[in-house]
Amino acid sequence: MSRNSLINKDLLAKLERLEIAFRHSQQVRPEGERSGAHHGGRIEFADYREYSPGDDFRHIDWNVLSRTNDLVVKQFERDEQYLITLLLDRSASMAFPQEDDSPSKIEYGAACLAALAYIGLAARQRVEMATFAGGSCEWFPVGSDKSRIFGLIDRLRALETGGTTSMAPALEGTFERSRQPCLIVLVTDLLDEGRSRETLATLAAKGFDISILHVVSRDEVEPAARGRMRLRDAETGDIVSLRITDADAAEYRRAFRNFGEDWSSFCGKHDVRFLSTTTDTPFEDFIMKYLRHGGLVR
Amino acid sequence: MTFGHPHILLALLLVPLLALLYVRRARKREMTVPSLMLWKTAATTGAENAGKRTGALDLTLVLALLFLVAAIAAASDPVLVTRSTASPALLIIADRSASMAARTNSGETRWAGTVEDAAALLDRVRGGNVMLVGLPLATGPGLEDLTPAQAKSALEQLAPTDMPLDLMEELARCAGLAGRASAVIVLTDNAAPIPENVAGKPVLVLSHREPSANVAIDAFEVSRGDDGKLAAFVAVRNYAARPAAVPVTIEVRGGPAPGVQKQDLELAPKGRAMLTADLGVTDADTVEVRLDVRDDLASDNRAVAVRSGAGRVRVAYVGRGNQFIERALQLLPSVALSHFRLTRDVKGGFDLIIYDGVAPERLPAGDVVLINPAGKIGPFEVQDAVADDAWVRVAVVNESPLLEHVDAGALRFKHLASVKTDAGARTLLESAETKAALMRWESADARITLVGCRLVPAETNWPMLPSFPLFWANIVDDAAGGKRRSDLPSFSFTGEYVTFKPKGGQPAVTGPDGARIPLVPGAGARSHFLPTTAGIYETSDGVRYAVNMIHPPESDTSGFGAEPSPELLESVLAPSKTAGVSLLPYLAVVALALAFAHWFTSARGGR
Repeated sequence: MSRNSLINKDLLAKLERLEIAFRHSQQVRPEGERSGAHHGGRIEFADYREYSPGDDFRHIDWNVLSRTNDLVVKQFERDEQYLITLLLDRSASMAFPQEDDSPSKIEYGAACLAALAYIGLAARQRVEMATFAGGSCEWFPVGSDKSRIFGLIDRLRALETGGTTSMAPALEGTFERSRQPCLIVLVTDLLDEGRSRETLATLAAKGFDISILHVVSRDEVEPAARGRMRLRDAETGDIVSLRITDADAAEYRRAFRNFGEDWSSFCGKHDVRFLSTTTDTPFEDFIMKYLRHGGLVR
Repeated sequence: MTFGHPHILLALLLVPLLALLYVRRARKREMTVPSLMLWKTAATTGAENAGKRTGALDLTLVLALLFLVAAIAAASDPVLVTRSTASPALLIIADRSASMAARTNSGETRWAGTVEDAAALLDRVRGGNVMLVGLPLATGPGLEDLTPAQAKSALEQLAPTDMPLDLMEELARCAGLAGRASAVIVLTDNAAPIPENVAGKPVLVLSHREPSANVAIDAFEVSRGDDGKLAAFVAVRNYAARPAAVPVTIEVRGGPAPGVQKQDLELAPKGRAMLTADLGVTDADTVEVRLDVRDDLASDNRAVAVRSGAGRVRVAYVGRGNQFIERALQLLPSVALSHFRLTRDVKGGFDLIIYDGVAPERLPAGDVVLINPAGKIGPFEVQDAVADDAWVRVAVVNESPLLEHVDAGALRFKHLASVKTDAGARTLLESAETKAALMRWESADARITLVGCRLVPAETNWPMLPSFPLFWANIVDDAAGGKRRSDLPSFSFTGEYVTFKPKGGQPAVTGPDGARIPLVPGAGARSHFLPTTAGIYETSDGVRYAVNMIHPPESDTSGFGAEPSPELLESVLAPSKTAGVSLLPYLAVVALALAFAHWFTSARGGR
């Protein structure tokens, strides 16, 4: 399954009906910062409601009052241009599964990232994207026009996996580039043994709206390998010789479940969205159902 | 070590192949995984056990291969054989047939020569035990657990008989004894090739069979001519390789005109000559024929016929065949049975005619048995037959000699005839429905017995009962009674049982040498004895029976003998003691233990 096959015209049309569910206003800035630093955005009429004491009388619609004698106030919403930072793990582990019919994690994750970018671009949000692996991070601003989605997809197609999973440099880079809280969507398999949690906790504490899309393959959830095996770590090249029995596989599944629960607990503690999926989950279902259910889009 | 199924051992070639496949299957496969992080966590204890597991794997392989080897070895039925020189256990089989009395060129009999050889052999035997069996088996002896000296003594006390012998058949019957011996020694002059082993034991043949010159009475019969006078038919054979002139003496004793006739026969080498002598008398107690020669075997130079009442009863069976009836009649040595399918084939001259399911247009005179007839026949008219699912009993309505020793209460019938008859007929066995099972009609010249069903198990249980042959013996006795069977001198042959019916008291028979002959009691108050020597036997009732040694194979004393090989002789005297212990049960247990260990190891490794 190629990466672009997950994104098609029909899905793009459906994505246009979605929007990113931002949890924090990005006007909230750290103390001491100037409000004028916020760029873009405009105020547009949204709805009427009955006047209540305390409302800004400047919002009373006098035309309606003269025609209907009802005292209503106009409601406006700020059409803010939020910054959406999409971070994609392109470590070697994301190349799995390699022999399965389902897409690899990098394909699945890139498609998620493209879908979210398109949702953001369709809403004229500013989108930035970075891929990270092995301590390096490659940035490429996408822009705020949905026509940029094709360039983004092209870039994603050209992605190559390699290196270890290291989320901290990408998260720190995000902080350095935005200098203000923004929406961060981190697509990764979380196979990071570094200091990513501390960085995530710091960013969350600074008001960043962080979502983690945990993408794994079915074989990572339920390994099928049995017998005498030499397991090679795709990222580190380390080798472990094991005789995998059913009992070992059950032990692994237990460890994997604990691993997910540990991350979920961590994310819950730091107000970070945590969504997990397997690459054999139908992609459209994941976007249209699970992401909505998880509160990342609506 | 020997193997019961050595070809199964070829399966061992599979062992390295299976080991290779096993190792190949068990070889570590390399697989790249996204990360070892979770595997390391999961297999913390597993990694600790990794060394053990590798050992368990190897142990599993070793156990599997050992199991395979043990199973294949067990299937090949291995026997651990140990050999050692042991004292022999000899089975001496002594041929006591008539030809063993033939004299050899040295003047001694074949028997004496072979016994001498056997005695010399027994002198060389150190320890061990001997079984001694005389053939024919019916003559004995059958002695076991003899020392060589005892066996030698017992052998020297034996003598040849006038019996014929089927050596192969008798040897086969000795196989059970041979199985307990280390070797078999056969003393015989039999011309047939003796098997090299009996029951797997080597056979050493001691034989004195030098070519000898013998003439013998080949056939003998006393008959009555059309003029009512007796005539003797004699055939003489020359077994020698040179011509022989044989004076033949025919002597008539007893009767109105005893006398002696002499004739000379010229016999070509291996030739045969016959003569028929008109005895010129109408009656005689004894007719004896002698060959007045001095040849190698004396017992076949004399034949005698006596008037004893033991003449044959000629019985004709007409029908599709009934094995029960025929077997019952064949048990009676006095019966000469002829079988006909069609009534028209039966000519005269029979003492008894049995029509089984068939009937002639006109019943002949004399004794007739009608079995399951249909329609009108003779004095009977069979109207219908009663067929019922239930077995019916019958009762004796009229006593008859035909029912002597027949337990009528044991008889069951499914099919009985409804018979109309004239007043002259008597019902002997009848069911409650007055259906006849057995009827009898007698006139001056005819005696007709009617059986109301087929004598087969589907219609009656009678053929399966012991009284069935007795019934037929009664029928034969009844048919033969009152006839002139005793007016012709007759005889039997050595080796054939003679059956007689004592008139009363304790029966006894005296042999030709005046010694008492052991009797074999028989059913129906009959007794039997086995004549082992030719001559005249006389019962306690005064009835005489002539028995002749007319057995051409025994008289044929030509041939050759062969010396046993020294190797065979040595192996018989000092046999290798072979002890075989089957390893199959032990290997089976080992295989089972290995299978269990393999299963246990696998289960532990795969917890």
